[in-house]
Amino acid sequence: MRAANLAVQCAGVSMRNPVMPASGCFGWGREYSRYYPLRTLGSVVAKAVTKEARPGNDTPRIAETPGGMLNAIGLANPGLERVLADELPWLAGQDVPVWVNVAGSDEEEYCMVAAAIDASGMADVLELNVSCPNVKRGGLAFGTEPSILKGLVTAVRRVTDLPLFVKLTPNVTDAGVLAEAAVAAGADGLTVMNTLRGMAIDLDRRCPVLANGQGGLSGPAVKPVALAMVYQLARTVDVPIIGCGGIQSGTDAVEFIMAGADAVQVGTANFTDPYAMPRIIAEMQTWMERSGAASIAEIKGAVH
Amino acid sequence: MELKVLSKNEVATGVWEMTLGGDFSYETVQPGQFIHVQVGDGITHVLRRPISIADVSVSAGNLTILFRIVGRGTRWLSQARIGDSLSVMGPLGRGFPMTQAKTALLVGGGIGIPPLYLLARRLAEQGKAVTTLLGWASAEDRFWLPAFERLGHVEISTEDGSLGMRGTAVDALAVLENLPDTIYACGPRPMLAALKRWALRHGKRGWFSMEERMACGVGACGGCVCRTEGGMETVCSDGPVFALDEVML
Repeated sequence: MRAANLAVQCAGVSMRNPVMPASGCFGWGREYSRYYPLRTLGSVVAKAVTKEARPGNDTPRIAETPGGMLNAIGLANPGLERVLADELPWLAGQDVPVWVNVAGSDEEEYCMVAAAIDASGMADVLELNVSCPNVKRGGLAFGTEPSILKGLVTAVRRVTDLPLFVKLTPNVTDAGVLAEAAVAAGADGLTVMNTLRGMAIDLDRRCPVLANGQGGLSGPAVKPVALAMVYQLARTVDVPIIGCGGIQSGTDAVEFIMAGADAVQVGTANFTDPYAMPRIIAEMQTWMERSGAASIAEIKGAVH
Repeated sequence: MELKVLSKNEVATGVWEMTLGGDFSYETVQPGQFIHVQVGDGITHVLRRPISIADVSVSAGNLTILFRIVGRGTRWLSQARIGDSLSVMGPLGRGFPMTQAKTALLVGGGIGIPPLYLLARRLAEQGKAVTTLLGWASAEDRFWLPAFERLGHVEISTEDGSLGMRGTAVDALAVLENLPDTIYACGPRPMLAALKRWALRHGKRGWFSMEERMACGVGACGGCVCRTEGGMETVCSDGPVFALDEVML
């Protein structure tokens, strides 16, 4: 068996391995640091940050569905000022690249937050959230219309030199058009994908389980959808793609790499098992060594 | 960590008592804390189930949970066999602070009752006078009643009046002869709301344990929040126990 090297370069960022959490599923990192050192991971992706604090939606915000879950958190976060003061300084000292997810209600807010996080020097990558299905303004509204997405990415691109990833939604007719719009406007990479819009019904109360009505579906149930989207976009654009959707094991992660992803994000699996990501990294290592793959580059896009 | 099922027992229809043993931080368990239990293979059910710790034995190295079957996940758990291993996170959350006062009133409704048992036991061990108001839908739903009766005075109420007084645990407040200093409660939201109004009217302080649909269990995802005077707080990590005057019901 040859030793496999899991290290990857993504838009100029060196990562020890291609595994990182999906935004919103890992808090600010600190919450999971009691389980393992965060430098075990390829990167840490912080939750979405908006200019002002957001309380988020009413509860219930969570519903389990077969093979998955719905969430409607609503971009709850303490706001830019407190994130910069209380959360990012600790995370920036953990010897692991830091990705910060940026959200807003309008272009001005996205730009303001992106510029401030860039200026803080505490982030290595910005990920634009244009795909949250659970807020009334912003979020998904920016990620479904190519001209609006292009305008937003162009505007944010002007205020930051950090690697800029755009997290896309599957809730569109053709994700390819949006991917092209994001890349044309200067995105350095894409995160594929955010959650699928879904609903669960409470029969006794005769109403949706989630207070928000609808939510975002994640977990193993959505993995085939995410794989197909990564596969499609890998043929459409020539920038790094972070695969995200239902990854629970090392072989799930390898499937995404083979579909064309450069790295992967793990969301729901962290809830099932707090040690999910270290386990996925170890399982990738084992799979690669058993199958004679020496590097991620060797298997990337293998199915194309 | 993995804990083994040491014993299981259906204590009322659809309510299971399960004792788990193995490597666990038993000595740090505070009453009101919970464990987060994986159900199934983690694929069909992606979310763990938060279950209060009802009792713990540091010397024997085990803990006991009580849970009601409410869906497929808890049904799966009820079907675990003695000797089976369960993936468990915990102890999680902030439990009930122990009162400095001499008397305590514990109010529990239905499946909110279990965390009050360990609390009652710890309070009784400290020499506090414990009065417990327990409410169930009906007489056949009751569990652990003799265990509570060994620790202090108990008033029972049932919604159908088949045992004790008719009504909820809060209705039993009317029969109290002396008002205790500190209140602890866990149960349905309307019960807690009524108890909060009563407590504020009588100038009593205390602590409520809250329940909410939960995902991560460690304060990372923001799924299980509860509105408090200080804003939204996570039930799993900031709670599940909150000061009764701060939690908004």
